[in-house]
Amino acid sequence: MQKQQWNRIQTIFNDALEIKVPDQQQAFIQKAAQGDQALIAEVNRLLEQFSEADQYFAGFEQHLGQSFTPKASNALPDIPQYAIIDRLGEGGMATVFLAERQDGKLTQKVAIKLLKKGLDTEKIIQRFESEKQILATLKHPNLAQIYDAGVSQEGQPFFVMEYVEGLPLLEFCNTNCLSIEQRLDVFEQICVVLQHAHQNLIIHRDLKPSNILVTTTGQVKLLDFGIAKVLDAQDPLITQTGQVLLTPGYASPEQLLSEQVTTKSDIFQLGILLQELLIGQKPVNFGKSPSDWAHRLNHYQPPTLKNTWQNLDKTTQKQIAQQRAQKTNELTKIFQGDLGNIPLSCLQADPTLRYDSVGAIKEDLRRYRVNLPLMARKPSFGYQLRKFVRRQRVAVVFSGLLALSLLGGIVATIWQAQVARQNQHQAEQQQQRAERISEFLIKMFRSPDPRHPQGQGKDVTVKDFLGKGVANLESELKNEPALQLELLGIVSDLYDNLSYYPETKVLEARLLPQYKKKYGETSRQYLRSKLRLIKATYQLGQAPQADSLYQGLIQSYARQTSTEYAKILNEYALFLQTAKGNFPVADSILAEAEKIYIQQKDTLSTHFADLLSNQGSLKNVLGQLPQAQSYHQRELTISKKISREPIPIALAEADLSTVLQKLGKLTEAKKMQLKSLKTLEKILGEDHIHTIHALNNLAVIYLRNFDLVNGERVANRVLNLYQKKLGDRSYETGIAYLNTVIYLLRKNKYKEALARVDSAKRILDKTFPPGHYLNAVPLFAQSLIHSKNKQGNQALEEAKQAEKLIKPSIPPGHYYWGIVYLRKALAYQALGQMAQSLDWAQKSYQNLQKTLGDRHYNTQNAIALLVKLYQDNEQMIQSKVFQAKLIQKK
Amino acid sequence: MTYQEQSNITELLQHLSEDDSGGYQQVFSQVYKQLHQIAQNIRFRWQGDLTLNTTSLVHEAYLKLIGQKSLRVESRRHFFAIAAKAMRQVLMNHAEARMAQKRGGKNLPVDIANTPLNVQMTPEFAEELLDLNEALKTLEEVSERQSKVVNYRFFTGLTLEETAQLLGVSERTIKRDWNSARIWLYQHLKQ
Repeated sequence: MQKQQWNRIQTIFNDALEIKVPDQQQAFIQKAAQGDQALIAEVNRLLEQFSEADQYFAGFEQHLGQSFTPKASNALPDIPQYAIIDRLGEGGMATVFLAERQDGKLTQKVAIKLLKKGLDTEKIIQRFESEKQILATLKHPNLAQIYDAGVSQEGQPFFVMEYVEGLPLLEFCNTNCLSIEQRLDVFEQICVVLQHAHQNLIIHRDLKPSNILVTTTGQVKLLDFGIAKVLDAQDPLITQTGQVLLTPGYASPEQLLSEQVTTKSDIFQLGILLQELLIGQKPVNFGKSPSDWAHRLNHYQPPTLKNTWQNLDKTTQKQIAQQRAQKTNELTKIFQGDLGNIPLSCLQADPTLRYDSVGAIKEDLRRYRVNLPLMARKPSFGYQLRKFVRRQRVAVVFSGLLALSLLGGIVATIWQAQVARQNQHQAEQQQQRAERISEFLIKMFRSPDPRHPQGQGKDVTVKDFLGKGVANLESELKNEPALQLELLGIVSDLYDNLSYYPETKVLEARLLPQYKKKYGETSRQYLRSKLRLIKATYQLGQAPQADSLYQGLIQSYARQTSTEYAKILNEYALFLQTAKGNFPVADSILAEAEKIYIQQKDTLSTHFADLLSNQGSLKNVLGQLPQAQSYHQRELTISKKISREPIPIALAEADLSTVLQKLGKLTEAKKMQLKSLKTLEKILGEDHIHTIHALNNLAVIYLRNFDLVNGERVANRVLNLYQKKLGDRSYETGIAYLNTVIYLLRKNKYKEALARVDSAKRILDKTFPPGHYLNAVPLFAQSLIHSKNKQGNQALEEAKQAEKLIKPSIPPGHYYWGIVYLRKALAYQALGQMAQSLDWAQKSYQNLQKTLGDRHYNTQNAIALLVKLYQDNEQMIQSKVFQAKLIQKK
Repeated sequence: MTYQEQSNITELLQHLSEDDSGGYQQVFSQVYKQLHQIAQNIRFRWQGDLTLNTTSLVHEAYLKLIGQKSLRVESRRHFFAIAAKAMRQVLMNHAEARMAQKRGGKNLPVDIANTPLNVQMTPEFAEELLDLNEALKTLEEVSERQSKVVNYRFFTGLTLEETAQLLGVSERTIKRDWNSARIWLYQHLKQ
């Protein structure tokens, strides 16, 4: 049929279809066809056939749909060891059955959740295997425990769970007319079990009211714990059907956006739960499709209890009040009060703005009930700005305007969000404030005056214009001390972040008394400021002052066992480690801090991760590598669970990588380090201190892999970066010098090598007290150089000095001793005293082989020496044995 | 998927014209991975399980593919076109294999067990599918848009409303297209 003809027919056909009354329809066709009988006949034929066609395609589509799922059988499934009694319910993904486990003697009622066919069984089983341990050990009276899992005779995966008889949460509360107080009690029960799970690093992911049952004795039982994780992850099929789409009203924003799910998602869902529990209305409705979600999330403001209540009509309000055995005006009062802050803080779109942990929610609940002010506070401007500013890669700024619109935009958005939550009067104040803040930030980042000779086409360093910014802030905000303090705090943050320690110290010293005055000596802000000040102090080489400052702080917090105190202990321990080399004390202090965190049940926080990081580093230095690995692994796991921040994760990876490298797991170490570096470089920039540290680790990995070309390249780059960044006052630069010496030695450039060691020594002498073990490291290098240069006496002298230095703090089994022995051996070799040399070489090998393994370059050096010595001594067999252990380098 | 892959696909899609079969092949393989998601979309439509807009799954697939959160219409349209093509291909492969299986042949055109989707159909339906495929080819020559409506509906599970949105025309227009298409196809199938 010709296209034109068809088009004409269709048009009439479709128009006719729209006319329902047959007479009118015919009349229309007559008119439209303009008397063309063939046309009229055709149209009528089509109309006749249309209902058939309609039916046919309906059936077709049904079959099409069914192609993707086989028919669900109504027969009861066959699962060995369990007798299925009844079907309890059905969901999109699984059917739940009541069953009896027959164990021979005992019969126990259980619930079996059988997954429907068509899901990826292999993957699910695999995932369950890995989760099973955790899920099975997650025992709590308020959790429906998972006993077992397997695959049915038909190949369907299933879970066996505790059978719980009870009503779903909301039904229970409404049927029994629980009051607000009583509902809070129930909610608290839920919090307790959730906290327990989070402690065990398990996120629920699917907290909705139907997943929470209440038994007849009033006991709360959470179902499906952790199952959602087994079912989702990589397989989008299941994520979509099991999570987001079947219960869209309960998903958190990050789940909708398919971003990483953390404990904060659970907290969001708790917020939804709480709100529904209290006021009977679901607080969020993100809509039905991703376009909806995207749109609504952009404009999302969590609704307050107050507003929600006010927007209800009287009848609904009455109904809700009845279900709570309270009067409407009672409820009005309650919902207008502080209670609303709790769900509000849970329901923030930005996970970092939510409560830190379930424990924090519990705490606020407690405070609400004893009428204390809540900690859940609307996020302050300073906090928002700080977050924003910290994210910027502020390296070198060229003269010329930065993209200010971005900056302005963000500040404006923050302001808008704030305004929506506050009343008009405050809103006006905030608006002015926001405008002033953006004004200042713009000023701070504005290009220097082009008329000024310095500003013409010259690169301005961050330091310079931050300094300018500070000056501006101080002069222009004289009459607004609060604002000034906040902004200066941000700048100090920046200084610290960029490792500008002199500036940090100066600024922070000025701010500290102001914090004291404004917030009090025991406030968080004061503490933060103080800690930053102390850190700057010792980074500037004033270790004794720092020490006494720390001790002062510890004393004043000593009686408290709060996490604040733990934080201080953590920093002090780090200081002791690096600045004083006092490991045993540091170790015990860290242990004490760890106890506090555990006691406070605050083990899912960045501070605890910091602590673990320090403990890992300490164990690393002490040579206790398996423990170090365990600590860093925990640090990494926690960092991943609690936030999406890539940097803590990258740092944990970098630390873990170092340990792996020392354990000889070089491929893993390299992979992890490169990954970490990628993140750090991308976000923080190449010249951020963290990035350089990570780069340094990479250099060591190359060295251990005997990849000398890359090793030298990176080591030199690291040296450059440290020099630029920290100058000659930091020990990192000193170590960086030393790390390049090896490559110079390979090329027999002894003079240069010595010169470098000298530079290193000068720095280390300045930065560490005379007895500090790190002063031994340049001596190692010097001894080595002198040995190679046949200056045996000097070499021996230096080796002995090194030995003296490490004796007090380095434990006997540590590999530093192996190196000392090796240096001695080399010195004796240079002196021609072969027997002595051999003796020490053997001792060295014994130590290094045990501590570093045969493949480490230090051990290889010992082996090479032994080969030579045995050869010279004509002990050919031994020589051959060791020769075999040598790795051929490229 | 690496960052690099994502941006490549975005570029591809954004420059892709429907006739560019070279680029299409590249994207096809990527899309293929997301097909099971689309399959779910189709399944759920007809089981009436969801009270939700069913494009969600396909959108998810697309968003995942692209890794961005908001997209220009141009690209979405191309994505759906490709997805529909891909799904159609998968189904037809299955149908052929199913028919071959019934005939007892040893050389199956496609290894049924080795596809990313769990597809099962009766031989009768397989035949219907193949017939439809042929009929659709003729429809394409008569009305491109009508064939698109059919493709989107059958092979990605889009509703009329969603199709209208995607193609940038009114819902009424699409409804009419759907009517016309069905009657055309029916005529051809019943011959």
